[in-house]
Amino acid sequence: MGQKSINRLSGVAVALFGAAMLLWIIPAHTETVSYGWVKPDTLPKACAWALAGLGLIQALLPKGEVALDGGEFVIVAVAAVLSAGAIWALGKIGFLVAAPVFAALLIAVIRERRIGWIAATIIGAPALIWVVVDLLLGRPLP
Amino acid sequence: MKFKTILAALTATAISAGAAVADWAPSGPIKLWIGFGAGGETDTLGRLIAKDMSEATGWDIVVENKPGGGGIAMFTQLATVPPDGQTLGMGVTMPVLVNLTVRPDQIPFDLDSFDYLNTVALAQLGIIAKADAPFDDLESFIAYSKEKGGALMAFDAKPQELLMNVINGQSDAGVKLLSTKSSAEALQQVLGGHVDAAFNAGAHIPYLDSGEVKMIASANASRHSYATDVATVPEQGYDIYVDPWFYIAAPAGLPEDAKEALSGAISAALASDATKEAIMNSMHTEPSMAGPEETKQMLVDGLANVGTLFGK
Amino acid sequence: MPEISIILAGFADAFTWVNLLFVMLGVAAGQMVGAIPGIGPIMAMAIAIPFTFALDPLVAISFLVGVNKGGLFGGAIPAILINTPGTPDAAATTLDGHPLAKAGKPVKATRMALFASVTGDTVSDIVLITLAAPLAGLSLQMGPVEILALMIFAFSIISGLIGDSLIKGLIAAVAGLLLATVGLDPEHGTPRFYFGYFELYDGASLVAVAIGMLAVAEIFRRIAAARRAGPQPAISLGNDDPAAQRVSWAEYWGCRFAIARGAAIGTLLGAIPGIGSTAAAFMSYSATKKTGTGGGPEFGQGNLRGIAATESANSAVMGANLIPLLGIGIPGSIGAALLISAFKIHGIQPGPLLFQTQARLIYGLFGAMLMANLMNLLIGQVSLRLWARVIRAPESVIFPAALLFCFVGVYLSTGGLFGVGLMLVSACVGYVMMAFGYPVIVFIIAFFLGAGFERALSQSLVILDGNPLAVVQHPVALALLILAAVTVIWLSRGRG
Repeated sequence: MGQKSINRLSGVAVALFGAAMLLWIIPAHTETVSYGWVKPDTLPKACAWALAGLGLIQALLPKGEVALDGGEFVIVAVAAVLSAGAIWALGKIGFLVAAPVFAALLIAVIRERRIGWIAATIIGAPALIWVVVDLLLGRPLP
Repeated sequence: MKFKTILAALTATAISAGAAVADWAPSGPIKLWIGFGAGGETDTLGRLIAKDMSEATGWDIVVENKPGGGGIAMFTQLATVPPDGQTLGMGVTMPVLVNLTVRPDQIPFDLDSFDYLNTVALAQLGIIAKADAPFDDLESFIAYSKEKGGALMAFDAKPQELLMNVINGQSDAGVKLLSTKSSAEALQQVLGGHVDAAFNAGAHIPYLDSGEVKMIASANASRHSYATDVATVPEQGYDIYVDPWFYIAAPAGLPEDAKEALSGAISAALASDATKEAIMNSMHTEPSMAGPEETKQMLVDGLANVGTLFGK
Repeated sequence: MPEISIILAGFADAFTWVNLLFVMLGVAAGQMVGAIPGIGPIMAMAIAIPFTFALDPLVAISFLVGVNKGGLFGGAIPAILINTPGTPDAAATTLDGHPLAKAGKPVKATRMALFASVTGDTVSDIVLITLAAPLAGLSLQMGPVEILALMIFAFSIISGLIGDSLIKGLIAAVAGLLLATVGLDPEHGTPRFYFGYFELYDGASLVAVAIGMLAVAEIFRRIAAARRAGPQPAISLGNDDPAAQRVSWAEYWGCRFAIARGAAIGTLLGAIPGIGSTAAAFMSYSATKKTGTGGGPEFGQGNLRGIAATESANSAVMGANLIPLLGIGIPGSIGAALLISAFKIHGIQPGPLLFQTQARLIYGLFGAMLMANLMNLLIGQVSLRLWARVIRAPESVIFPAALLFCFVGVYLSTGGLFGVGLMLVSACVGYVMMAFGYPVIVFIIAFFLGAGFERALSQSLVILDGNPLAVVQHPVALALLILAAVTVIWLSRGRG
């Protein structure tokens, strides 16, 4: 896909988002009030109209640079999914178990093999955080 | 540690007059959740109480900030944790009562979701104006507003706006209301001459002393300790007031002994000189420790009063 | 002005060994927490305040001032070394700081940041000490209409940061503004777009969004890069030749206008609450960028002036934030609000009488602030070497560890895992925006200014009775609006 069509695509996405805000999200998630100059939906509506309009312009006259990189995107997606899992695990099983596992998975993604550095990351970093935050500052971790 | 606990229990008994000697003890650190972010009045108060409580009782008390919606986020979470006395929450009545009145179906808890342990203090809310303003009480303010075609008045919370709406409705004053983020901002607007009057909860007191600001009315049900000559809004002919209480609650179903022990410990902490002084310094009001029964009653009455504010 | 003897007594109170010790501790702690993404000086001050209750008022406040000032510089360290700002204020520092670090001069870049930060801070402290009273009067004159105009002026600086495509820049700005409308609306207090999450009642957390978009998105990218490059040696610090890492007097002097401009912008925006240090840093950067590279590399590729402009501006804001605080008792920022609560706990009521009733304490505080600046400079020299050594660990260690710190920092400052989730979503949105060429920085600034903008708009319309043309009765506001228009034209000149 060329740069032009990627730009066109992002313009269409922005315009659709603006339209979705106007048609569904804003009416469903703001309350109606009977008085005042700036109502709860005044600024959101103005922004949504602007997004719809600007998105259309971008779709029609695609301009600007893009830095889309498929390979990078896949690894970033993996890291994001792992992070989401880590947030879930932090709530379920706590920091002291979840953090080292999360660190270990990230290390696996990077493919680090040196055992010393691996140990430093999966044991050292969580332990340091735990000591500083939980013991020294007295703030509980999940 | 044991000795300390007993000592604390004794102190608590002595102060909360008649509370049973508590043999309840927490099984681990007690979490005190604050319904606001770090640095606010609730946060400062909560941390002072927690510090004093743990010094007096030997319990490990951990303060955590859970901001969001003036305490709604915190109380929503508090309603779901087990009622074992290990998790407490501190908030202010007004945002909770307003939301329970206006959008009860969206709020996942009600007053019965909690056991109430104690009040902490009453925030004193005043109506102020610049010292050289051509009015001194509500009546002359209303007259001024009519003459000017709508005076400007700053507020920083919904109930204040409603109180003024009631007065507007009854007197045709036509006061125009300006929403600000904080008492400090409302005060700044008054001092800078951008508005004619404002609600204020304490930030204005030094300016009363310096003579740059005057008080038109107390918006509470009672007069203020530092300005006893200023009449309340009800005294000035409008049967309406706003009483924001700081209070501490726990999930409903707390065992009776835990409730007494905790409530007693909070009372003891509030009665200590250091906490008292800090509350006086930061809020210009006496600490109050009404105990579980009265705190609950205060919330029930408060809900009815907020209902009146909203005309429900 | 109080008696000279009181002023001297105040300064003498400040220069004691105990005070010096607490200022040092505060600065060291501040630099440490500032460098950890998510935990900023605000968080550290909030934790420290109850502990200061037992201390003498001047010692307590000196300590907190030390934390605040240390944190200002601390945030710049990871911004420069690994391109992930430790605090939102340091976001603009990444623009030129990190490229210079990548070019093998990380210590030089951090040093420049340190010198500019301390200079900007000192300038604004001196303005505070000498002109607090008249400047505080200035901030009283700024009513809602004037603040709205100032916000519009602040928005106009965005045009200097929009990249190659005007449309994409505008989309990013509007989207940032839209995100700022999440939470209670400023005029009626009704909840909007909270989707059942009460944590969103107060709006999307600034820290979670900023750390997510600026730090976590970058960490994800660097993890991807590290995997593709295979096992890496330690991050290269370039040559260890001390001369290459030094900031010479000539280089510092070459940045004098950038630093002075930053200090002026920062001091002014600090004295007038409402805009904030992040936007001030970008404004200063934008203005300096327009005045030429001074023979150095292009902006965005490691120009020293870029670093100097941002760091002097964001540090100057913090000093000047105390002007409305001490002058009229109005806090200009969250940091200043925390200082107020520390004052109050010790029975000191900030306000109009402060200089009369507590003059000796105030001059003690001024002494402590100057002392903290000196300490910042000295301790900063040590801690920047320390951090430069820490990041010699390979990327496979640095980035997973940094991600954990972001998790914990945002967890602590937002009070729950919801904030961490929001941070992750922001990171993903930030990554996608960057990949499709939408300027993330523009989005963040619009988001930061957005909530205040809507409130000021609502207040102004009440005051103007709904008639925007009535703004002609507010000359200051009118002048600012004209200035905004001029700025847009000036900054967008020369863009195709």
